[in-house]
Amino acid sequence: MSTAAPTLVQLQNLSVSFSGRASDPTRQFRAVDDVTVDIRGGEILGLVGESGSGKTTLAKALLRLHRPSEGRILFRGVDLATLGERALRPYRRDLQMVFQDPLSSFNPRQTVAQALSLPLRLHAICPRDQIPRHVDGMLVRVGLSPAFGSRFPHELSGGQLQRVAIGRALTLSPHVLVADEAVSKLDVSVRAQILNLLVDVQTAHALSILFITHDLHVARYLCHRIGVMYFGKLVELGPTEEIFTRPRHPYTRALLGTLEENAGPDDADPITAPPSATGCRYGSRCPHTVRRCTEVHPALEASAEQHLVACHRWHELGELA
Amino acid sequence: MTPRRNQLSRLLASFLGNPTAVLGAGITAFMILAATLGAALMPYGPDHTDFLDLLSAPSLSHPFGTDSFGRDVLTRVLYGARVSLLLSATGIAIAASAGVALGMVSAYKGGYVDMLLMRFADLLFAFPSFVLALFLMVVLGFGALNVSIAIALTYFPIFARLGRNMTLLVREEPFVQAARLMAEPTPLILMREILPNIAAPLIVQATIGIAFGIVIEAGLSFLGVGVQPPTPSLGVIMADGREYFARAPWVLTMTGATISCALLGLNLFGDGLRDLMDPRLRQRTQS
Amino acid sequence: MTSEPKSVLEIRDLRTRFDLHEGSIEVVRGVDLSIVEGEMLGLIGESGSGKTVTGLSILRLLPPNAHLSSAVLRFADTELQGLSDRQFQSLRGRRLAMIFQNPMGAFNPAKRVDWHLREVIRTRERSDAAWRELATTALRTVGIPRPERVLRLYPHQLSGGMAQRILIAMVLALEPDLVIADEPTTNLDNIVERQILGLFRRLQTRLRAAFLFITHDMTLAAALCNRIAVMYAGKIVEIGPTRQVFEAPRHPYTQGLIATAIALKTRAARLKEIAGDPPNLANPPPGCPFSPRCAQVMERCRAIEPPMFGPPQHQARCFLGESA
Repeated sequence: MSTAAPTLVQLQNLSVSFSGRASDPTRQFRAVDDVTVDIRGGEILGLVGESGSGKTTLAKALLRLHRPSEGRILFRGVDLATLGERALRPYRRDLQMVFQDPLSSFNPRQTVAQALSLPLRLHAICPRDQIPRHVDGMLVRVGLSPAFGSRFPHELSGGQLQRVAIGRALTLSPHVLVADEAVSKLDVSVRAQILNLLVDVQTAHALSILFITHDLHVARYLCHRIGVMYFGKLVELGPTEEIFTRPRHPYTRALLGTLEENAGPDDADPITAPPSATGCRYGSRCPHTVRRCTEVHPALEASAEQHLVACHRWHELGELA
Repeated sequence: MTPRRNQLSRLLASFLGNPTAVLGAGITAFMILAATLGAALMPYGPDHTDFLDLLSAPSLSHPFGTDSFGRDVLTRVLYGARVSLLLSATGIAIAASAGVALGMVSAYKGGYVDMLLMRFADLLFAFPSFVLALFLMVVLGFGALNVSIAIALTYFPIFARLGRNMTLLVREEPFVQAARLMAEPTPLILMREILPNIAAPLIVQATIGIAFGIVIEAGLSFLGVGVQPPTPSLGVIMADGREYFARAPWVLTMTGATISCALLGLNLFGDGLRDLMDPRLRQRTQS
Repeated sequence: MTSEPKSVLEIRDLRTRFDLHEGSIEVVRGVDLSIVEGEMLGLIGESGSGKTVTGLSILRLLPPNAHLSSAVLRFADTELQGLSDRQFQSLRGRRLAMIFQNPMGAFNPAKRVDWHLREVIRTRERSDAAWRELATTALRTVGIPRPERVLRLYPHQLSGGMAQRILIAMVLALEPDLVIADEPTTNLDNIVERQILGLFRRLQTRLRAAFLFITHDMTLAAALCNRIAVMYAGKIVEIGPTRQVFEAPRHPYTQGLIATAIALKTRAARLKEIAGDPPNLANPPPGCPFSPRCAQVMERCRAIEPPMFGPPQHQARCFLGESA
């Protein structure tokens, strides 16, 4: 996976705001705050972060399930962020998603075959009479017998359903597949099957995958590049191995610290105050803050080839463990 | 399709296992049958007068007795039940289709449309249903057809709100988002994805609505603003019976008992349906 | 000369079945367990393995359509099956503690945190005096700064991690003899999860309680537990000291789970899969329930269900262990 791969999707200064949290209905809440990131052809880009980091919101904004409040989504020279539903229609085929909970991502009243034939019919991908064959073919391609077509979603296991979900997403031959915690709800023994399937599918179709997860092991295994998000901000971005062996941002380091077998201080991390509106979001938890950190949120800077960090002090902190 | 048949047979079996539901269904079915077939099978017509037998107490030949015109009360009640049921069911059907349709669209689109519709529904809700129905009759004019319309308007906000709230829930489900991602057109999403998944509580509400529709019709006709005599309806017969209650209490009481029965049956049936939806979810094993 | 550690939980042949519309399904199909004081036993399994139902069976938290039977179901010196519901309830509140996946379920939403701690302390101490002191100390022990402020909060104002901490504080204050935890960190983020696990370690050292730690996450169990029991299709298929089970697993299912975890960590070119899906318990296959998925299956496995083989310390329900 080289850096020479062409950029497929460019998210520029993307922000997604929601109005009104239960605690303070008047305030605008920025789930995604000024994020710039690109997705390249044929790559698997991982997006990691904890709950509330905005990673899922970002993915949904990319797919236009949420409306971005600011910024651009450049795809094939078109800004998807401002298009209306009708204008978006032709682009829907190019961006598809696999959801975290396979069972709720299918209409419980329809059979698997009906779910798979829907996109075929909506987009006239093949002639009407060819549809059953197409559906059978897709089931086989994701490792299931065509007999599954006549079953209802609740009759399949999580792993089986997720395969169908991947098949359904592939029906439209998308360029970008978003996998939102696609294996988190699956049993460990099934997880490997789905991960292998994703890898197979990706190589076979030269897909780009945006893989959202909180599981660092899976991210490291699967992804070519990784972006780390914290409270709506992208704090670090780079090739997987770079991120894992030379993490620059204190938050990334903290996250990676949880992977170690014998982690250090295992308690009494002070309960965090909400992140400040100005200044670095991570400031209230970061052990390395200086005054500048409370004043201005750091911009993404390149610390190495392809490795971006948003931290005022990354060069000084560079050599710390 | 076999999987569908399987689901249905399972539903049927659970339903039959619930004694309340079966009782309710039984009473309801019996009443519907009586009002349709039974009425036709009666030896008398509803208007058949027998001046030799005025206001006679219940007997073998007249199980509900006769009224001041010598008409067989049971026959009139059966015909009346048919009228009441029909008017109520029609009204509810209109309320349900219009209400749910509007509620669904409103919830899916959101924004001003949603707000307007809900404020309108709130307005209708502010009035107690019977008072509202009465008011509507005054505005629309008396008569059977308008009873239906009054019932429809009275129940419209309930269905609109129910349809809207259920749609709001289902709208956020991943499978609806998946449908949007596939560029499924909105009308199709509403019909294929959302409606089948909100149908259950709507059906329960409709059952209960019909029950209360009967009560509203009876009340309106009793007051003289609903169905006009000589057309029998449960309310008309009760109005009649009230006039000579001292001499012939059976007319009023038997009709009232019939209404109560119908209500009981429909309510139990609705409850049974509701129970059917719930424990099916809870009965799954945990691992 | 140390005395024999006291047995806290002793279970022989626990069976739990559910009555469903389609018929009865046996979800726990003959489980044997024993835990002594100070020991943490990890119960590992995936969905459908029966691990959660095992925990619920011990705690009598099953829905009305469930029935359990057990040859032995003993807590300390008491045979639990002989207790009436009321007797069991008083036992459960005082000497048995539970920590579940969703901590919110343990709180009364209409009462503040201080009320909850007070209830626990009152149970233990039988006196109310100085409960606030004890509560504050308990919260501080689990790493909550400004406990006075937290005591005044209502449950809905707590984050998942905070709620779980408070729950652990309550368990600490209760000083039970047995703690059953079912996926206590599954809903928590990585960093918070790490902290909660640390608290569990602290719980283990401070209390002389026995722990049953139910989870699907092998690595978690490996970090915390003294012994591991692996469940599959309602039975325990392997049980032994943590290190031994991880370094020398005897059952192909355990081997598969560990292999996947390792492959993931070492970024093998292709992940080792365990083919197929867990069995349908309404219609379990004959013989060993894992046989349809087992790479080392023998003819015998499909016909007869294997008993436990191996030294009493580390056993596996697999014919491969017969010769060993």
